[in-house]
Amino acid sequence: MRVSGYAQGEVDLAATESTAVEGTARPARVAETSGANLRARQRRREYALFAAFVAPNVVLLAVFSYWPVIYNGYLSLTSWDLLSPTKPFVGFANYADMFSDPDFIAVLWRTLWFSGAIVVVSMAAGLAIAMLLNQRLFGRNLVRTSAFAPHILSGAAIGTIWLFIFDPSYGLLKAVIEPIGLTSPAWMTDSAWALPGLIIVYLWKNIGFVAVVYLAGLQNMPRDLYEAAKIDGAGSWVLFWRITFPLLSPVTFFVAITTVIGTFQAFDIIAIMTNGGPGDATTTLSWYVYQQAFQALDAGHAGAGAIVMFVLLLFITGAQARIMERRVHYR
Amino acid sequence: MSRLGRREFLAAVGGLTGLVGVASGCGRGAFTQVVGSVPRDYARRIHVVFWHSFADPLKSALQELIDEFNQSQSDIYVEGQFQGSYEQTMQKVAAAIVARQIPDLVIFSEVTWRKMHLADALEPLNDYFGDGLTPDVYIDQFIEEGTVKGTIWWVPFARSTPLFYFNRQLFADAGLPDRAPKSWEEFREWAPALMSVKGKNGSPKALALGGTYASWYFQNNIWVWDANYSEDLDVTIGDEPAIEAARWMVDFVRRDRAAYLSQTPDVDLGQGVAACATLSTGSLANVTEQAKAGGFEVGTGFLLEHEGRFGCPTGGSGLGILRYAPPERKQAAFEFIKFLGQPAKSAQWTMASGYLPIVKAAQQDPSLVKLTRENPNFSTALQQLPKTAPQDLVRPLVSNAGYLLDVGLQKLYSSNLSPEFVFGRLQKQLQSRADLIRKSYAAHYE
Amino acid sequence: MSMIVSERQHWVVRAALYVALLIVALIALVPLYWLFTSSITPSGEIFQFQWFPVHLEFNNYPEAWAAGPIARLYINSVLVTVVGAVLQISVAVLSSYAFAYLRFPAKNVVFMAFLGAMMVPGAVVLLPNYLTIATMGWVNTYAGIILPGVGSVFAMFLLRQHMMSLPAEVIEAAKVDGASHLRILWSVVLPMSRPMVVTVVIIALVEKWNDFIWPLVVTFTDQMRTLPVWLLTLKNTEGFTNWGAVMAATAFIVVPPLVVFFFAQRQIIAGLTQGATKG
Repeated sequence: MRVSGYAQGEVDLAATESTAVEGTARPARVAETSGANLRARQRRREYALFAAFVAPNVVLLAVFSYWPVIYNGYLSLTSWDLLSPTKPFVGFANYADMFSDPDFIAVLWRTLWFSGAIVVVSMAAGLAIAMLLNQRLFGRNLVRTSAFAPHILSGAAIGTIWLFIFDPSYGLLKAVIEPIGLTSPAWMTDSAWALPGLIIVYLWKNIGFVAVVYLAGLQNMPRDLYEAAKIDGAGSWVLFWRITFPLLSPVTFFVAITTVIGTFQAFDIIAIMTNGGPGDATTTLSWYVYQQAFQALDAGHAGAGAIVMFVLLLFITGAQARIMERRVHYR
Repeated sequence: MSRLGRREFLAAVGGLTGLVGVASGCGRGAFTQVVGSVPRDYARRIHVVFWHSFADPLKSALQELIDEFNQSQSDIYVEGQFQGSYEQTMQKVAAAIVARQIPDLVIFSEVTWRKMHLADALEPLNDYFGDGLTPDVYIDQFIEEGTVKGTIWWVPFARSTPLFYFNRQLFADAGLPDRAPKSWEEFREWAPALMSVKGKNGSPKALALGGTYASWYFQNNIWVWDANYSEDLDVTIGDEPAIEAARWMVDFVRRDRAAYLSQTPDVDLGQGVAACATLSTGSLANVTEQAKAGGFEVGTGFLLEHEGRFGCPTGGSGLGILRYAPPERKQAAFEFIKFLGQPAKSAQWTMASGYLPIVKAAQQDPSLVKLTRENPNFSTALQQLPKTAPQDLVRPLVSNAGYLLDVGLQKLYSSNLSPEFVFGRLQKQLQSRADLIRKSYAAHYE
Repeated sequence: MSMIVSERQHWVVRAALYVALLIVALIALVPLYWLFTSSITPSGEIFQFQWFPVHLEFNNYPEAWAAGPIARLYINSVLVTVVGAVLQISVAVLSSYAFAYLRFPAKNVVFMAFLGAMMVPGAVVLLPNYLTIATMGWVNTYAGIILPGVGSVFAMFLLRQHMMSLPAEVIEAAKVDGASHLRILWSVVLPMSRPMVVTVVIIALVEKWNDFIWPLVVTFTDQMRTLPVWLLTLKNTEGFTNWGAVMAATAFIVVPPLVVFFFAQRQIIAGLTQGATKG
């Protein structure tokens, strides 16, 4: 990590900077006799500048991201229905209630399974497609663009389109697989198929993104390593596992983290396609929180669910970061 | 330099704390009106903000009524703002109350109004009635439903009941009589014939079951099997008769394969994918359109009986005034309610939407009579009306009960779970939630 | 699959690869294709699946246009998107410059704290933010829609990565010339970071264009709503759904990001991949 520092003895720079940044005229300071004092003052100025530059983002995130977490933490200790003027304090009752409710435990497992499936399949399929796109084939750039396009569409649009595609009576999927002799399940109204259906939709949105990122990683591979390995007689498979994949680990890490966070937050497509149903077949943690907050008007359970989700994400991301430190190789 | 840095930092912290304090409602302020827009011509009038849940095409019909009202007098301007579904409107009202920026007049469904009432957010309306409008102009059962211990809180507007819709063409093709089946048993006998007809989308299923508000429709099954979701706040869905009702329907879905869960039962009916569906009377106009496009005529009938028993719940929505609004706006809002309570206006809304006429005299309105004669389906709901009853209290009264019931029924229609298991779980969940509001219930209802 | 492109692949292998390529493209594009064809299909016929509509119904578009104050919705969407993206990137640029070039005690801890903000569940920020915005009197205003989205972590992360990879000599030279940090940022770092800035701007534009949960919560009147919110309300009805118009409306929403993406794809992809590969 390269950090730039001041060159030594730049009094003028400090003086100029103060007027430029703070916009107030300051009397030129007399040069300090001690070099160390000077550096200390410069360092403190730098700290202040850092604070100033970072302040807008800090304030915004504090108010609109962190404050809600704290507020929800507070609400999770109450049983408030958003309508009464008072918020009765109930301690940890909401948490106890949630964790002894088999439906909520099911929500947790479902979320992990949902997220895990999408992460694993995205990475595997994304990598495979990236390797495909890495071949010198005609039209591959066009395909690369097409594969990435789903990622920029709005969740509302994607949900609407795929609702139709999955429809067992009118949908595109039915039209495609019926000639082969298969019958289309009632994807979004069948408890067994709804979650896989949702997973397919999120994969459709995500794989192109993963593929493109892996492709860049592949294209940055060092040729010399490969040449050396081939001279040593390594076969394709060995090449892949011993060299390619480890060298792609920064990408894998980046993809894993962003996908996990993304799938935990996933909510807009669920809202359009299934509303958490049928039954609770597609009720993930984020949907649970939304439903408790806005339909059940149960701020206590919503807050508790939110805290659980936040902690879970912190834990998972932390674990991934720990793994990264050990396994990721940067060149 | 560092002094400045610290000053900035402190300012940021101070501002943040201030925001935090304010945002958490430390400052108890008065209620103000939520934002809206008033055309210049109406600038001098009292501005009433009216939150409703009607999307197009109903939104235009409602807007027509609003415009007529605005043009018919010169003191009040009503502004209609669409906020989404009944539940979404309720969420926004809750958020609005917390933020202390509120509308004046709101559409509440038969479920959401009771929550607001328990939270003491509604204005009691008895004193507003008088010469211009008396409670007895409304159909008794509707105005009674909005009355608790003699006080009126909720005035009917878009009331509905479920109705049994069927595809007359498919019935004819199947050799069945041109009427709805009388009972669930008769329907079950007819189902195989229906499902063997060859339509343009393959063979239809007999019955499309809607996932949304599934428990509202299932109230019929519960009642005709001589069961209840609850008696007052005592949940009885775990009792044997209720489970029997569920078992019958589950067999109809899984064994007979005649019924299925659908996200869009109205579309399925219109496309001939399902021969029948129970839908709200509010969908009548829409389904008639779709049937026309699909080349068939839609028929309607009463909800199905079982062992000679009949049961049909009411539903839909009505109007409530928020208690926190200032007196002159509450009074102005009631003027609009008076306007909507005129027989001609009630008939106008009914004809545009298919919702029931809420005013007794509206049934004699000449245009409505004419429409009913041309389209007999319009009168089915009216004829069924005297036999309807308000729903079992647990669903409207207990937090999230409707959602949990819908989810339970969806599970039964779409998976292999047993009715005993699902209803048994519901019994526990609903009862524990019902117990939480017993005190409040006692204070308001007893 | 061989990692290294070999000129001497067997033709069967090449053919198989082309087939695979085609399948990928089809899977990605067919849903979009279907969206556009169904938007010009008459409503009644949308429910009979056809690869290309027999009857063309261009009227869906004017109908969708008339179903809401579309012109106003487009303006709202554009305004909220552009202003929001500009503000977000400005804020992100400032913070990432600070992380890249300024010293601060426990800077890494501060950075970690920023990253934590990404893990805040989206659904739960809605109510508290609504309260905050209501307190400021900004419900149903552009400011209220834009403000909560201005803070950002992802953009700051990518920009910081990029800035740290810029050659230090140029920065040093500017310092020696007596430039202030703001000057360095404006005249030296930003021009050198242009590809990455373009990338994050476009990502921000797309994200804000598609945002619908927050605008749904914070707007009351159709006049202030954005396109995706309005699409949601179109379908939320007990009554009639004009599917042809719904598909046309969906097309309205989807086309601008696609156009932007088409022209800027290289930038987006380059920026994202750099962020990923340089850790």
